[in-house]
Amino acid sequence: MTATVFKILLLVAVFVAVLSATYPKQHAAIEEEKANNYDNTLMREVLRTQKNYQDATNNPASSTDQRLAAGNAYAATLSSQQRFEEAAKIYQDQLALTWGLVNNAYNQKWADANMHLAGAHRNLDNQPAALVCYDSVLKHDQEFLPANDPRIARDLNNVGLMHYLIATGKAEPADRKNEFKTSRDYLEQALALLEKNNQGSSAKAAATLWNLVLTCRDLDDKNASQNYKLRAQAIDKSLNRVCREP
Amino acid sequence: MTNLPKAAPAEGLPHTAQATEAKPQWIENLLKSWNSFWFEPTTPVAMAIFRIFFGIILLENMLVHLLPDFDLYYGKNSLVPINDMMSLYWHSSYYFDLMAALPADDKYIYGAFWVMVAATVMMTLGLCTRVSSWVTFLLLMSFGAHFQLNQNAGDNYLRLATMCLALSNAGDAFSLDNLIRATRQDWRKTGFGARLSAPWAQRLLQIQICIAYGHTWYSKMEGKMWNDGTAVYYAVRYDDLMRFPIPHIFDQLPIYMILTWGTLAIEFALFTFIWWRPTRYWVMAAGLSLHLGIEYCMNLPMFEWSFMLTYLLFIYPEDLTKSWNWLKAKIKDRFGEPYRLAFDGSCILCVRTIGLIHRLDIFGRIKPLDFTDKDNDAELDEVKLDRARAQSEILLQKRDGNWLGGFKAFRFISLRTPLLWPLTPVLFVPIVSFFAELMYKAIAANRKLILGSPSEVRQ
Repeated sequence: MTATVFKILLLVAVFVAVLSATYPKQHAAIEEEKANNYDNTLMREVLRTQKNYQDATNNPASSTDQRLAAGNAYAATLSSQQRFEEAAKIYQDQLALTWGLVNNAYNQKWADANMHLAGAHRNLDNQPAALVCYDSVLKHDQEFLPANDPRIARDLNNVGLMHYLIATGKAEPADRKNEFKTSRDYLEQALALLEKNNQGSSAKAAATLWNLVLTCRDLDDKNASQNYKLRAQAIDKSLNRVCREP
Repeated sequence: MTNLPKAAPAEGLPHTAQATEAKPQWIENLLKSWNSFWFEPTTPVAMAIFRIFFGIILLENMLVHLLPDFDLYYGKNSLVPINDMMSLYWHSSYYFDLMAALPADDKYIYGAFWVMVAATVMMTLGLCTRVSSWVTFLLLMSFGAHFQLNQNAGDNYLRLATMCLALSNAGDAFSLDNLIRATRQDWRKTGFGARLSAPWAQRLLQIQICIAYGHTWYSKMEGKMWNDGTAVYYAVRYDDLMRFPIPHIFDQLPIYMILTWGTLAIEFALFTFIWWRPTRYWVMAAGLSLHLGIEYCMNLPMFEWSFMLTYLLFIYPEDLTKSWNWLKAKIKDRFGEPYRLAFDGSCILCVRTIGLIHRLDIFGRIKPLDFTDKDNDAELDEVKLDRARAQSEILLQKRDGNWLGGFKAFRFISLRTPLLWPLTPVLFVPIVSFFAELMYKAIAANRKLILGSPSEVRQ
């Protein structure tokens, strides 16, 4: 009987020892998780940036730059929470805010807001709306920047990519082909412009080349697709980039 | 003890004997059955056989399923490190995790794993069975808590069964513990039967498996596909667990209906009719066919085997004995009568050694005969035992009538005793046999000095 009681007590002691040694670690882990949990941190960040944004917009003394910075920070945190529609609304407001800043000259802030808005539309899988934004930036850049400015190449690449994505959603083969052709046209213009700027071997050129690989492949121009692919791979290799082929 | 006069009942109070009303007969019977079910001493043989095969399943689970992906599950940089496991899965519940109590270093986790493997090996062999099975259980529980995402119902069952093993007297038979204990006993007084004990841990496990079957049956009865007879069609096509496809000829709706409803019927019987003696073995046979069928179609590592193994606990002890005797009889028919082994019953060392050999001789191939026992005289005279030689060494009679003595007799026995086979090749190494023979002679010459004669030994 004594031996049995001793054995039971020994077992209970083992349980008590292990549980009491473990519980502080468990408690600390739970507290740490509460403090550093990604969702919680993001929520706090959203609340903080929202307050800043509201303060900046409600304060008549705040500058446009302050409002833009607060709006960008808030929209970025909203995007991290996948709240793309609310982020798009903020960028939309920024368009109105920046439109009148410059007359008859290049408006960098408006272009940036428009690019952000395009990004939000892309996240919402609304490529036609994103295309409108990228297209208006392209037109603006073409109007006010030098003809060979690399930013125009960026815009051409964006517009080309949007046409490609829109093409993949078309049901009719003829419609699809037209969009692919338009896409290829923009992308080749972008590539030519980068080459003129001696950026033919840059990461930007590689991105455009990979877009061309897809577009030419879907246009059934296998030779062109293969050539672009070899060039894109060569650039990636020269930059020591490991890129997964699309 | 002095007989004291009974005290008279206090005035106004009824006599104690009158106050205690006899319980109704049915309550008496119920209590008797309850006590008999849980506590009536029974042989631990079934539990011991279960222990051995269950230990092998545990080892397979550890070495084949866990070890190859050990770092992924339990390492410092596992898929879900312990801190995240605690905060995201344990929450504020208490879990027993020995490794979490140790410093966070892989060497401790690996150390705990190998301790668990060693404890499982010891449990399987029956060495320090009680301690080793508790260590196995506690570490199984620790590893289960340390990474909860690789646990399924099979793992839960393994843990529960190990706990029941730790609570049972599974080490009282077919174990090294039992052999070691036997070397301290004179089997002529104690016999060879395993120590009887209350089977409550075995009953817990029996009830546990019935609860599992009852639960699965009830859950299935609520499922639409189990009722319309198509469930098995989908179950055997579950990609993640598929092993072999159902043969084309059986791939028919009526067959699936029979299999589906048959599964329900068998599972129902497995928690009801299994308790009724006339149907028990039929139900077990049906259960085996069900699990073997699942094993053929689905890859559920160790799950089916651990359930099938538990059926061992439902075999009545007398049937286990009958089955073993049948097997021994078959072996006797095939390989002839057991070999006579003459030994000196006045030497306790010889008695204990013979007891050990007899316990290891599970197929009854050796017949020990004490040449000092008058009852054996007739038989030993008939086979012309050289009694003078028998005084100096044990003697074993071969088929041709010749007698082998001492170490050579042991070597002969080891060849015919499966449990000694791992040792046999060593006994044939010339240098080993040379020294073993010398050692045998030295021990045999001084055998009565080592432990004395039976009358001198405290039992």
